Amino acid sequence: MASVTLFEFKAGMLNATEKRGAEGVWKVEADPRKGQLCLTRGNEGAIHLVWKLRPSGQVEEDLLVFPESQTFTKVNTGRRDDRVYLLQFNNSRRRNFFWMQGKKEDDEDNARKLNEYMSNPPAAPVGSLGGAGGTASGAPDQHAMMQLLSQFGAGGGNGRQQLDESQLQSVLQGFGMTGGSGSAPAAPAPPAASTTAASTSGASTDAPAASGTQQQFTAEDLQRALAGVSGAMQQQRTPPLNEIYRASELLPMLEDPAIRDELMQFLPEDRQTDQELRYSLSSPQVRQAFAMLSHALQSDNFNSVMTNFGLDPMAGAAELQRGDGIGAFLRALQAKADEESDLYD
Amino acid sequence: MADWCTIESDPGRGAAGVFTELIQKIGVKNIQVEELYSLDDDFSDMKPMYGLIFLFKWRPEEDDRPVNVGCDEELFFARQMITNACATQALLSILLNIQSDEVDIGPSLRSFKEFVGVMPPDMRGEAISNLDNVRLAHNSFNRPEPFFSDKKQYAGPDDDVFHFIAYIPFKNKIYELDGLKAGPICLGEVEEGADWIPAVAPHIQQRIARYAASEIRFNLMAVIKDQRVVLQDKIDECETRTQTLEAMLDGHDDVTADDSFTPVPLEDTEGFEQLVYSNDLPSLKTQLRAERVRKMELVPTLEEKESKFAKWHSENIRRRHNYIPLCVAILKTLAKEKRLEPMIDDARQRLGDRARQQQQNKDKTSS
Repeated sequence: MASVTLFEFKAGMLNATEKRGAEGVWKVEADPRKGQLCLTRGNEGAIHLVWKLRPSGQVEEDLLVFPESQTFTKVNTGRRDDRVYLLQFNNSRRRNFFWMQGKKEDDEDNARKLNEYMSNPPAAPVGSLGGAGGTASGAPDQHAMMQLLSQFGAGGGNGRQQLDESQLQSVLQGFGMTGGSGSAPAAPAPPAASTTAASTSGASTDAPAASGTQQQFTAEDLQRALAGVSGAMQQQRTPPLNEIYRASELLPMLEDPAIRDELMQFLPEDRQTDQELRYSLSSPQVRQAFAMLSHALQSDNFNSVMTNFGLDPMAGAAELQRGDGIGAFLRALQAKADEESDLYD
Repeated sequence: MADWCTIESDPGRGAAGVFTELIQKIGVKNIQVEELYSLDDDFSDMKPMYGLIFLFKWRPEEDDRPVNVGCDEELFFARQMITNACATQALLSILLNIQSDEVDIGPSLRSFKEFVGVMPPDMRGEAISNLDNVRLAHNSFNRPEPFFSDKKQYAGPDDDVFHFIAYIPFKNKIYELDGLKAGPICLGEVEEGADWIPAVAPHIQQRIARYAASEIRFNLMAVIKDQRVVLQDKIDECETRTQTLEAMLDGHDDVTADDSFTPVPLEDTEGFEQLVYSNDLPSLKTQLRAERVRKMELVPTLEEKESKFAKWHSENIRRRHNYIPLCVAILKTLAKEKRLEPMIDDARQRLGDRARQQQQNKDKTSS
């Protein structure tokens, strides 16, 4: 996973289970392994708190943190020598327990800084970490996205984090989706990262989109993450386009010459006739094209489709958050249609 | 390496139309591809067949048959060098090996044939890939790929990878030409001037039986003369004969046709000449009647063929066209007419009902 480490210190983890029948009381068991707690900025621009093993660097826990949304505080275990700290999220019952493994005199300082940085991430890595962070590749961070989603709805119920407006903004910024086309992400990337990062959209899309330095949004990753989402959430997903489209809806509209003319221009050049139009609407080619379009909207090509047809991804932000590429596209399309209709009223 | 792409070949869905237009685009004259539904039928009206193409969904299989590398220097065989160009490869295998003087393969293929005449099989394969006009013709038949996708460069398990094998008669022998093999496979001999189809049929039947058993989809096509041309030639011949006979019977309206006389078939030019020479008026009248009937049958058949070619042409145009912009325009129209939201809801409803029904069925069977 390529990202930049902003701040870190040695710490281990404890596994916690809530005591049955006694809410708020947790039974914890220390994981004896040596670890490192790192505050990182992911490729997508979001801030993570990552727990990795030493010396392998293997990541065991990867949490997203937001301004004013969580606290890292010392726990009174009743035993004087314990150096247990609790990471607690404001809107969630999720709890992570850590134990300090560095020099004891640094504990307080580390905790304070972590709290501070989780809400106000430093622009550049702090202290001994200064300098080029990890090698940021052009590819969007799949792991980060899955983490994002697992916190926003996987399993439903108690595990859910509710995003407020500013958090939503920063998430969307991180995925390069604010302000419609043309705007660079508002969250400044640390100088070290921007010079080492392949800031072109190195992924497979060739979208000439505004997003020169923005990471492309891989809706496909959301798909995968959402595979684990609750049934209720699944129901909300927009059906594929070829399921939605029914030629019978459109055929009566062909009485209107304006509509006929509008559609006819998209037929093959030497076949622009009423007859061909009627045929096309029910043709296997069109059915297949709807299927291809649906597929594209749930993949890396989402952005290029939106750009090609002059649609604003922000208009479908809510759907996008659910990984519903098709829904986002349709909402943006409706918005555009409404806009154009208003112009002519 | 130049850029090729897959011609979508869905057995049974217009493959013959695509290949016919492809061949004609390369410059071959009066040749078409026609689909065969079995090898048991008569096919006399489609003969001579210059080659057969067997098209099937490829999977690796065991094949111990010996390959005759370098069996006949003049036999054009090319190993398949470019992925996804196997349709064109198979077609060229047939076209470049046609011995008949009747067929004009066009200037491009003629000069190509000369050029590769002395090359070994693998170099010939590469030469195909550099045949620009062939490549352009091939590519102009691609399905538009509106969405660039890294992921689809290699066929996955769900993708249908179709392979083409050509069967040809060549100098009294029958060959199986498979670009993925090292060389041609000789299947047997056939007498000079004899019909090669009965000799090759059993080999193809075996393949069909093998694939049908495993439910592998396949398709069989023949490279033949353009049937429109054949029919037009026949109609013209009929017309010429009719005029000759009418001229000869002019003023002899009282003559009765001789019903015992068997009319001379269209192919029998000598027989017709003899008839004319005989000047036997009753026989001539019988013949005239036969020619008129023949023409009455041929004309609608030609019209049928013309309309099939027109349909193929339309299909090819549609196949090449990118319908995504039309789809988006359709959706936008529905959005403007405020029908989009209700249609989305309907679809959700339908899917929900379907899922519930499936679940019920599942519960029923498991209980």
